[in-house]
Amino acid sequence: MGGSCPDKQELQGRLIDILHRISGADPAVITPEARLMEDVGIDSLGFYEILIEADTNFGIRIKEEELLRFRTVADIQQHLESLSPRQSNGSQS
Amino acid sequence: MALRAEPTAVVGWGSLNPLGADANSTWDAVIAGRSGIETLQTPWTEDLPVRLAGCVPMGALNSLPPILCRRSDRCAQLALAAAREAWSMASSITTGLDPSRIAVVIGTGIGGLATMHEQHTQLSAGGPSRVNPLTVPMLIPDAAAGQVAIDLGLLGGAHTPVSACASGAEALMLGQMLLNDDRADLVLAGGSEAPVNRLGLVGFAAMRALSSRNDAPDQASRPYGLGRDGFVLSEGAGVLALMRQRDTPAGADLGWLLSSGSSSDAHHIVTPEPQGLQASRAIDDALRRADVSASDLCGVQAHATGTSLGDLAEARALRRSLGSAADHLPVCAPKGQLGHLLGGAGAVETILALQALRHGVMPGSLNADPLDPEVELAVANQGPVELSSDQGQRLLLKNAFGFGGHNISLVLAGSTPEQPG
Repeated sequence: MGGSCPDKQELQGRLIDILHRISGADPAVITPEARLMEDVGIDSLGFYEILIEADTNFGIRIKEEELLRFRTVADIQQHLESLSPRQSNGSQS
Repeated sequence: MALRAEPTAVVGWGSLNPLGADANSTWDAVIAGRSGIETLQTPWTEDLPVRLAGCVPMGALNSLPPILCRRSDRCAQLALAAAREAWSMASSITTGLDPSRIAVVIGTGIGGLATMHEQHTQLSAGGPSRVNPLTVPMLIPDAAAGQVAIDLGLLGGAHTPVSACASGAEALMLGQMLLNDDRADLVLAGGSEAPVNRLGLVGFAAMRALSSRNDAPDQASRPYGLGRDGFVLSEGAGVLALMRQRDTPAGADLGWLLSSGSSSDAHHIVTPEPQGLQASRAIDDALRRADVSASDLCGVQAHATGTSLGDLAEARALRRSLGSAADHLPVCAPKGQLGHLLGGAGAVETILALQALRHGVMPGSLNADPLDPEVELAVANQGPVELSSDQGQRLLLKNAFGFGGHNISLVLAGSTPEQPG
């Protein structure tokens, strides 16, 4: 588990890197308001890659029903911030 | 009675293997007598009984986009790079062709073995939530053919023969059949394999199929040689662009696939039928379909992997089919330099055979000296030999056999007139 507790800016940077690797999109287009499917090019399998990357990189397990609600990059970031190990200590496996 | 096959022109090729990152550098290394086999130095090999393999040169896949590499197994990546090289080489011919008339046939023995191994490790160590959602699309054997079709936008069908170490040669046979059945006007056909990982090395070592000369990698792969102790696992891919003879512009051919013969041993899942009876039938089938006899050939490129039983069965099959011509026909076993690329071998080696025909030189058969006295063939174990052109167009027989008892033989011809290149 890469479960360190990044601050907000570091988390955003690492999230952009993850989405870049999953989609191949130019990091410049991966802005908070960018739409995951239409703008970043995440496909259905890519959504499920986000689950693994969040677990591996942040030690955060996103529930599948939450995952399917994500529309933008900011949606993921806010969700990760709300579940970061420091803030939800004891709720993560 | 087999029909005479319509000759198939080869108008492009691409190859990645332990001797080179493209077809031309591979030929240069082969004719220089280099070995592509190395002792693996990575930590994951430390507890393995066999630490030998042939790996494609570092950086050979750097031209592929990272997203494509992330979403495909190395087996598909190697096929993509080889297909791009073949496609580029044939670009003057493919321009303007209808994509719905261009087919892909990429064979593989196993497919995404590394993906299977890695994801099983993930499952064991991290549980179900750590398994990559791309596991299945990456490990399926047809992923290479599918990815090539996607990458180049080819709509005429994507096919995957899976016949172990005959897969690459069988792909060429299927490519010729698609053309002769008018299902396509151009076919990208070949094979790919990426077995150099823990599961691949352990799996083949467990059946005692691999050489264990860990301290002498350049001497480990010894097809037809006395004291051979198994083959060496290698990775790589070869892809050839094929066309019907009547559609091929004058002077565009690099060489010809005249015919493809086939048979099955129906004997044992891995042990070849020891007398080579059915392998001999595949050779006879190819010669008959090309309407040539053994005396028309100028050489043989053998399947010979370096196993004790397999090499002898092939030698007996060649003797049976070629008769007295086997006394003098030079025989080369390219796996002495390349190692065994499994499903990639047939295509990578066919490109080498066509290059040999173009240059009029048969590469030497590395590590076949001293020759096993039971191998009654004129193995070229003293270095390259000139290929005779007494019969006009040079013709060469190429074999490929696979676990499961798959036997494929091809009759190849040089372009006329031969021009080095």
